[in-house]
Amino acid sequence: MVSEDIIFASQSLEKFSQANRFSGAIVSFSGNVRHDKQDGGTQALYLQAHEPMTSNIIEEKRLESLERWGLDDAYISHRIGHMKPGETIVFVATAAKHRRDAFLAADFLMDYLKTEAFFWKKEIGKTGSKWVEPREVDYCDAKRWNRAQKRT
Amino acid sequence: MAQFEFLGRLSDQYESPMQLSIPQSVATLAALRLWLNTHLQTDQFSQPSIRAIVNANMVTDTAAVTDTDDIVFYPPVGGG
Repeated sequence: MVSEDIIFASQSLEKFSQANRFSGAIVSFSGNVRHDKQDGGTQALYLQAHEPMTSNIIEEKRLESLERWGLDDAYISHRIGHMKPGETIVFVATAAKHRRDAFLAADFLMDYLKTEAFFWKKEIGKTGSKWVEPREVDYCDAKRWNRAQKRT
Repeated sequence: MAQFEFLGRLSDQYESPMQLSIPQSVATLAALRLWLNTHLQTDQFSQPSIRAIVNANMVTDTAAVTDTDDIVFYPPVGGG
């Protein structure tokens, strides 16, 4: 789900956990807007998407994660528009029989969102703004999934 | 007229959406990149990191373009 609406991660987790209460393992990740102290700190973050392509490809990846790790369920919520430090940018949750699959799938989905999902991110500070592109380490993290195989 | 959309940092640099008439001699994305560089007085559309979507499909430089297309140019993506 891609929306300008505020993400309440604890509520999202509660809803997901309840819906998947018979799964053996539930993993969730929340990514929040940092308050960096450098350059006066980030005052706001702006996320741009290209709908419906952004949502369509996220759904493809969600379905891929379900199949690859045999998940019971997976949920992705990503915010767009302007947001302030402390607010949640992205919430990912996975449910599986066993913890390893739930961890791996959540990690896979986050690496995808960081490097391939159709978003563009701008940091707005006191002294100006700048568009932020993925770091080399983000691309390296994402490449792990090209060679990594599902745990047997 | 083709309709152009510019995303990410490009959206700060160019009006978006923007309608432009593509000359008939410009038949591929590769040619369009060169034409846009001249038209918009830049060289960044030749950068491989600037990618394109034509009529909702991600395309490569050999893709055909026409004057009725919806064309999106975007820099490297990344959310989270």
